[in-house]
Amino acid sequence: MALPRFTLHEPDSVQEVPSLLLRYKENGAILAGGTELLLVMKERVVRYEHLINIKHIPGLDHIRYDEQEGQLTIGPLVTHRALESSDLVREKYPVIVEMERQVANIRIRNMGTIGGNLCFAEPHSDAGTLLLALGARVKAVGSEGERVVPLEDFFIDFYETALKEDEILTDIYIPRMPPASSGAYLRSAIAERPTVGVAVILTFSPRDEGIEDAVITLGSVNPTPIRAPEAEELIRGKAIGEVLANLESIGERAAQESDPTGDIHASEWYKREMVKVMVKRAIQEAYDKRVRQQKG
Amino acid sequence: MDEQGKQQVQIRVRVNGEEHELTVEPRETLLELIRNRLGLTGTKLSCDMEVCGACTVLLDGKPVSSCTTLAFEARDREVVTIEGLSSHGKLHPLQEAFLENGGVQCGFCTPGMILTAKTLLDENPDPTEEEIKEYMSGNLCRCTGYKMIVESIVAAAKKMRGER
Repeated sequence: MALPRFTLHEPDSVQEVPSLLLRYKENGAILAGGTELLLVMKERVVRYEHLINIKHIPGLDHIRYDEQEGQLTIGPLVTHRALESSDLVREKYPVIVEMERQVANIRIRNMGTIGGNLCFAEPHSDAGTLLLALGARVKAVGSEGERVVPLEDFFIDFYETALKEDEILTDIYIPRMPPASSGAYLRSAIAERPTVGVAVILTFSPRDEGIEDAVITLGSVNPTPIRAPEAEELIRGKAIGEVLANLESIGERAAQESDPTGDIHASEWYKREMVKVMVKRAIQEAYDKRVRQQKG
Repeated sequence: MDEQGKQQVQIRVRVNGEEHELTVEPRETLLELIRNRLGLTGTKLSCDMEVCGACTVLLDGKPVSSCTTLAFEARDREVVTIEGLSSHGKLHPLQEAFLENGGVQCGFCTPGMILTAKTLLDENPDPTEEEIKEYMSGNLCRCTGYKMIVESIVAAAKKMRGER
């Protein structure tokens, strides 16, 4: 299906973007990889008469790790494929590589960007779920200046973020993985998009007797990715054996914390069931990875 | 802008080794450019939503969905379509392997399959069957049941590594 006509703008710098966004308001949108935007334009679900191509702006495609700060900084134009293939990311955040390998298909991963994915805020996406579990923050630059927003405050509703009308996302910050930690990202999916996505990050006690901390996030079930704090409480401070024996209840609790709606992906019942199943499997997998890590 | 007030973008793009200077509308897709302007109809319009892989072309060596890539994005870049794989009438080992191993039935998915397999083998000359299936998982086929496609890729990889 042919795309509707639009006017193309190609700024050379971040500074030009806010005024373009303000000028065109709801008639204008930022174009990065286009893998989600162009589809909804084809379907005539949205109509943008002005697209602002940011791919010529330098300084938006970095992957940097600061050892002192213990922080990964990713530019919004970094593609899913670039993250998936990054030796640096694999070394410091293997769970990010694990998630990126599962995104859509290789063609979408070659064009689609992490910034575009977060800003489009489609609930049936993978990156937001994991990045929320990793404590990510994003920097937004607008006409009034720049600000840093934690991801839990960034996702407002489906297709709605905290970005103001004139803001562009310029950086994604991910703190160091806690020492003695391991994570897993699992999804239940029939096609490109996840029906349900789960991220689990476990922090183990120094001699691996117990689990000091647990972060569980659920994606694609609520309008935005969410934490599952009650399920986390069932893990935090417990002995490993106790947690592994209790997976069914932990999974069940996480399923109750979600609020899925039946849709084309699956019924409400099935989504809740998959939350339980994926949480159980993700905890087991995070633990199994820790065991493999320790064995060297 | 042209006389009708439509915005036009001048682009230079190299397709299968040949330079083209074209004027495109921003909304034109790379698939439209390839099929309609250049007459290269090996690349297929199928799902039109990036999931089937029949429209796969290589953009600077990477497989992309040309149905959902804008034509101007190929400006100053290199595009390879299935027509670009054979050289002076000599088929690429992947093309030969697909023909010899039953990897082609109706042929509709084949251009996308072969181009994607090419980048797989460029990155990983000796992939396992699991690695092949994972890499190719975004290319759909309604005819073969995939088994012969995997076998074709295994056979091509072997030939390209110089093994008998």
